[in-house]
Amino acid sequence: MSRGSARAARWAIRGTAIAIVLGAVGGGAAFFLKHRAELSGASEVVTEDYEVVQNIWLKPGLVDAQVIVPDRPHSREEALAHREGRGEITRVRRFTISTNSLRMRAPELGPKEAGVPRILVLGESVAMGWGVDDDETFPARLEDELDDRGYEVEVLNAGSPSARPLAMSRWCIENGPKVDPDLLIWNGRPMQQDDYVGDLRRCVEALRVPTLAILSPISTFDPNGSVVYKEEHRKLKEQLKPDGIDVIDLTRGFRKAQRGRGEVLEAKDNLLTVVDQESDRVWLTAERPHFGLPQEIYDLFETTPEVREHLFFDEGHPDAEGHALYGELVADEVAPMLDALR
Amino acid sequence: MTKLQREAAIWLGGALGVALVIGLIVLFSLGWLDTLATRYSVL
Repeated sequence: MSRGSARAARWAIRGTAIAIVLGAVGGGAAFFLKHRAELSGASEVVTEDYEVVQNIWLKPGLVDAQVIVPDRPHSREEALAHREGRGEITRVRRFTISTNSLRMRAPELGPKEAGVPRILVLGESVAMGWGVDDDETFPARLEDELDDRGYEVEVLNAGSPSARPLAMSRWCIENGPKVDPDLLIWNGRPMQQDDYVGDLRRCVEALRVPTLAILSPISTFDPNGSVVYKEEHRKLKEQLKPDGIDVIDLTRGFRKAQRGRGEVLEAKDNLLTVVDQESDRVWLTAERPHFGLPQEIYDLFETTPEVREHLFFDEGHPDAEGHALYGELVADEVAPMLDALR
Repeated sequence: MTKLQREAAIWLGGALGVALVIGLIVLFSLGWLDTLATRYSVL
């Protein structure tokens, strides 16, 4: 090879190498920017200002939008830190959401089928099925369960993350008549500032259909909820009795099913203890803070994948098995209501 | 191996190595190679 052609070959090699590196840098940057936009969109497709309810609500027309959430109890600070990209949560779960034009986690509404009652489920993240796929949510499981029991029904999921009773009521008044349900399920738990009873009454007034109010089950890892749930149920039941609306609390049914399985949080005096019910192993005991759980418990879940509460994946949301039980427990209450409709 | 072949192996091998590292960094930062997401909705 002549000296000239050897030099040309050398420069060709160097040029190719530089082109590969530049291509990788440019291509990598383009790929990153495109997919980073998709990933950040995953949170934004779930929450957005919605003028009708004046609160966040599901976006309309989502098609298999992927959402990634902590797969363990977590503090709000942890969640926010992680959202800003400086967090430590590695235990996460993914699920997909599709919505119709009315922002319901349901297919586009068709005309009502004769003889097939339509059940509208209005509620918060638990009703929506935060953490589970579309066909695993309790409204979906309720429809399956009722079908197994010989009731042909259409159950429509109008749950949304962070929905408070006021927002649910506004959604109900705006969209409920379009859905034209034969039965309403109102799912959620009141917080101190909510007018739970008033908001429910306004929704029922707009729809005028038999209604069942459900108080979502309380995880044992919600020590404050565990203290107040019985009294909360008693009070609401009494308040809604004159309206002919029954209120059921699923906590007891969940606690019964949890017995002997997975981890639970036991509260005694000012101490919280994480116990593995299958081996009676005590994972840790820590002092109870004013709000949420002690950091040691969040850290235990983070570092120890086998620590898991049966039926819940975090301190408030049922997993797929929890939603299946949810469907069964609610079907027990809804079946007699359907009989009365016939 | 000739001197030219050795030089080609070093330059092209190095470039492919750099491209591979860039690709891995991009995939890791997108959370595609682990289950760690950079963002999710907060309730």
